[in-house]
Amino acid sequence: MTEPFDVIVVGTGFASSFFLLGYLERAPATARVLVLERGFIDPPAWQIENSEFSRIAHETTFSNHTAQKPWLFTVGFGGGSNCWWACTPRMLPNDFRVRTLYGVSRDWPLSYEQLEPHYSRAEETMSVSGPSDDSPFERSRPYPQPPHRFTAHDELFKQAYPDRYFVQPTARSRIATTRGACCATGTCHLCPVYAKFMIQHELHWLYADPRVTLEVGADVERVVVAGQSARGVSYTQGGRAQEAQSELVVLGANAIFNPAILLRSQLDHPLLGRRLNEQVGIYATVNFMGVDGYQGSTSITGHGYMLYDGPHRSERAACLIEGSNMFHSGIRLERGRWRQSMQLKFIFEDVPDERNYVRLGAGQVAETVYEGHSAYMQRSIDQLPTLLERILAPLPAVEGYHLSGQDATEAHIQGTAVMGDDPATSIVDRHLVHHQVRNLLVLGSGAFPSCSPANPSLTIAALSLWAVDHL
Amino acid sequence: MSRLVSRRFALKLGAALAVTGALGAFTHYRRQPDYIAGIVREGLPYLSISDAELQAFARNYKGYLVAINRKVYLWARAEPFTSGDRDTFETRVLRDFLLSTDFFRNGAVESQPVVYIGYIARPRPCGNPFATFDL
Repeated sequence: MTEPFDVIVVGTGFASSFFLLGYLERAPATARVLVLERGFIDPPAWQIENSEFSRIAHETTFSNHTAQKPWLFTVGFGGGSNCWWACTPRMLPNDFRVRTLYGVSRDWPLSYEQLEPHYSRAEETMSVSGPSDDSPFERSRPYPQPPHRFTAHDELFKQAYPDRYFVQPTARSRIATTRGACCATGTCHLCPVYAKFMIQHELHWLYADPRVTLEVGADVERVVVAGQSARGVSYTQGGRAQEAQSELVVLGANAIFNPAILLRSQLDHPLLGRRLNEQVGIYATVNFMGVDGYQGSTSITGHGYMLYDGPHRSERAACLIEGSNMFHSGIRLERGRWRQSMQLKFIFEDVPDERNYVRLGAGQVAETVYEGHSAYMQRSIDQLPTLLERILAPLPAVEGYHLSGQDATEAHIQGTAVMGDDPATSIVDRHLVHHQVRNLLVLGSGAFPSCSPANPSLTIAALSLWAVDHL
Repeated sequence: MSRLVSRRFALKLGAALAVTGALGAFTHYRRQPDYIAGIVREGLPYLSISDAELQAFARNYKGYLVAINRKVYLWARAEPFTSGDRDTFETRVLRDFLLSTDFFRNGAVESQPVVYIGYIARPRPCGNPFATFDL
């Protein structure tokens, strides 16, 4: 048995890396940190060459009891930062108070104001581009990079909705820094010019810190718990069972694997693994008369909040709208009118449901069970044609629109180890510390008590910085 | 196993094989260069495209269709091969053809012969000819 570590961190994605960022700033030179990553280091050039994110196929790492509902993630160094599209909206202040304001879902045990400094820090680290003076949320600091350029169609929306349509905040570079500038190609999952924030590009130095030992190919089985204290973790690496000890254990795997590790650790709780959820995204194409688009400087240029917050959330789901600048998918196949269309994406929040969950299947492998999204979300989806007509009504030059399909997954897995102040109804407290095992942190979007329409990665990063601030 | 169940099983198996075979044949047919070239000729009859240019695109595109990696393309927004109803196959071929040529870079002038530059499956660097980047 080796000497105990001060901290064992599981995973190298947003949750773990931003925790490590904050932790190493405070840790003494003698600190010893062990990081266990299930995947391997597959560099971006390898990913592009092979059209893969990892040498490990994600679907081989868990069992999906409900095959028609896929869940997407990357098992590899850098986690979701390899495959993400780098959209970085913050949650709105009211997203933290949906139970109080609208009587649905759950309030968060922390407020937007409490998380705000950590949002700013995460944006600084990711070098986010965005509109500092024209934003749907209060900000203490300007965005690090200037905003991307709108398309002409975005401009029409902005004129119609000056206080509800904005340039999208994004970790796709507006200007070149340590990474390239975005060239608006619209293949952000495998960015060909290294323009998006990736842990492999911009936080790899954390793992080269002399205080940190990184082990890849290390599959964590469980947290070793004695009484109400975590003593370390057991894992397999290269087919060999191993155990490591530490003063603090930090789980930063995703919202499927974190609860599976806790279940294997016999840290049972009626809500552990429950409330598995994600958003649903639906596309629409809008045709314009005589207005050419696609002049924007990145793939997704606009964010519409026309259907997001308001009293309707008592009855039906909020929706965030993305305005696209992706010419390759938006070309209008009409002679001479190639650029006179715009793709929109409508992203709906859900109310987490305990019937959707992660359990341990055969061989104690993580298994997802999904009954479906809520009626609350479906009511908004059903009304989309009417809502779309309403938001298009004030725009000039609109010729028509059609809804054009739905993604099977948003790749935003959330809600399986929720945070809250009451140990009876939550797994971790407001600082992401396990209610029973007080030297165990469970990070990531599994802690989200509700499902806002906002992309979760920035919030995951901010929450990790918040957690490390309260150690 | 009873005789009845065996017969039912055999019928189901036969039907499944027939459907699979038909789908496979259809998929194979759609990957053929002549079929792909036909979509372009029919969809863009007013453009001046030489047979050689079109066949070169169709051959490359066939290679792309065979090699397409479903796992990665699940992540790509607006990719029709996984979302099914978002786009038709024909629509996708036409869009990919136009973006594989000099048509837009030459100002979309219909009278000018279209030159096939090369089809690059995603990720295609800087594939939006109209994007503007001045600050």
